[in-house]
Amino acid sequence: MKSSDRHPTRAQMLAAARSGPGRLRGHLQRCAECLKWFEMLRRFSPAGSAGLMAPSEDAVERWINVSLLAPPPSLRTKSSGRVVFDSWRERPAAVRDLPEGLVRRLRLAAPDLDLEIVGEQRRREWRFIARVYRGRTAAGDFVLRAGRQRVVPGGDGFLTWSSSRPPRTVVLISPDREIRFENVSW
Amino acid sequence: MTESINILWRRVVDGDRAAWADLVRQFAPLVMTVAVRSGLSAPDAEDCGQQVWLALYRTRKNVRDPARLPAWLIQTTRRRAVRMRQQQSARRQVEADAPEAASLCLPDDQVVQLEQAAILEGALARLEPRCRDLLRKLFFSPGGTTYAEIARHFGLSPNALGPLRSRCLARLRKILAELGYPVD
Repeated sequence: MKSSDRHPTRAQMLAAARSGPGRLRGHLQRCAECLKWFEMLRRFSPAGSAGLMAPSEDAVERWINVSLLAPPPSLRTKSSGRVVFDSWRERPAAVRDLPEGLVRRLRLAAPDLDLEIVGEQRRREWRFIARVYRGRTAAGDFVLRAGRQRVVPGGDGFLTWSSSRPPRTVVLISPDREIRFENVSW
Repeated sequence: MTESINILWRRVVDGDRAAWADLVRQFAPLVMTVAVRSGLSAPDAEDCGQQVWLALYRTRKNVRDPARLPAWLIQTTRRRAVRMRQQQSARRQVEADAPEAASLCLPDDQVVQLEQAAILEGALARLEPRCRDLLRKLFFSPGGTTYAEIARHFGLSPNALGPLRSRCLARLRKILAELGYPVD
């Protein structure tokens, strides 16, 4: 067998895919299998160095859930809710400061669901985590509008966000509903 | 089951949430990678991704050529990532030596690589595990890895590697064509 009739090594094929067939040209003209492999390598082997990064599963859930925001607001049934628990009402302002920061817990209720929010003040921002419940079951099918931010639920229905100012207005949005809660002062 | 990007997209346009979830899962690594390579931290990249997917969902009825989706995702993610970095810079007045957002733009050759990587990953994900693993090794393992070493990894003789590679490659080409990205 002539050396040009031997199938190329993987290193030769990768080099040819990068910089052109060169000495392999003759072999590639005779060997249909190698030619197919060469064409695929030429097209896709640089992609191997692209090294795609996977986002967190929670982020993927949030990205999927952006579809909850899609229908126009005019198609949503509007309702309202109110604050039924506020940790700041329970304790005087002087003892709200905890060693790790200022924390506020809120429960807001609409006729068939509750929204629980925990806000924690850090040095430069407020961090929030919230969840919607139907009875005792967490509901992941609502987007939260907190002030100007739209917060999309991640895995297990958790809504997390941060902002320099805490939100005064809180609205829950699903494809067919919009629940506006009474304003919260901070 | 292999589903062409056109069929999947038609279902998305019709409001099928399962199709939307499939699409997001398929291209999520592409969006994440572009956002991070454009200079965002991982949490910011995930927030940027949310804006990108929301923009796509809202404008889905205007998309004419679904096969161009990877390119659209790359461009939109780059643009939004740069905007986010500019907003962050303005807000925090970053240190003088921090790179400017514009300098963190992805070069065009990287953009092409990322687009190809996303398309290939989407097709590989639809192969049976043995073929997928074999082609990943063949495409992506370091250049010094020989066919004999790859064959050993799969418990094959070096002579058996060629026919298996051909079969897997034929399936991959078929899937790429069905997805709307013919190789020929």
